[in-house]
Amino acid sequence: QALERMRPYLCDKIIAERHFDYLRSKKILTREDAEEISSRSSSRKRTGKLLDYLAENPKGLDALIESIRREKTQNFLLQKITDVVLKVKNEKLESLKGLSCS
Amino acid sequence: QLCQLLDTTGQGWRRLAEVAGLEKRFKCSAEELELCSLRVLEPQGSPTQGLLQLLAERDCTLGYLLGCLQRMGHTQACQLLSSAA
Repeated sequence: QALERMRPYLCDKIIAERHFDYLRSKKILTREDAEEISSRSSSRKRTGKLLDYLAENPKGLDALIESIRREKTQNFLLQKITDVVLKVKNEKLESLKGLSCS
Repeated sequence: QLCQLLDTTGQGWRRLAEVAGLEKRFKCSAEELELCSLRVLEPQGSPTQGLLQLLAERDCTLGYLLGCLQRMGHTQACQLLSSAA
C-alpha cells in the first residue's frame, strides 16, 4: 500500500537495475522477472515494473529498503519511505478504531 | 502510550529527536535515526520507542524529556508524561 502511494516518487528516484542483484539474491525476483523489467524502454517504466513485482511480494518493500541501505547512495529515500509507511500504518489503526467504536 | 501518541502525530518523533538533540549528548546520528525509522516495518514496531530507548541509554531524564515536549508545544504528550511520572 505504501509502495503504491509512493509510486510516482519512487519511479523518479529509483534505478531498477541497481537493485536486481540484491533482490535476486533474496529470491524476490527471478531471472525472468529481471529480464522482463530490462526489456522496458525507459528507466521510469523499468522502475514501474519493478514496483509491480515488489507489490506482489509481502517481503518486497522490506527487501527494497534493505537494498537501498546497502547502496548507501540514496539514504534520503529511506526517511521518505519509512515516514509514508508510518502514515499508512496510522491510518489503518485509525480505521480499525473507527470500526470497533461504531 | 507516549509512543503511540508521538507515532501518530505530525509533530512526532522526528521533531522530538531534533529538539532533544540540541543537547550534545542526546544528539542522534543519521544512522541512529534511520534505525529508529526502520522499526516501523516491524508489526509492533514504533520509531518513537526506538528513540526513547536511545535517549534512555544516555541517561536522559524524564524531566529533560518533558522539557523537550514543552518546547515542542505538544501539550497532549506533556500531560501524558507528567501524569505517568
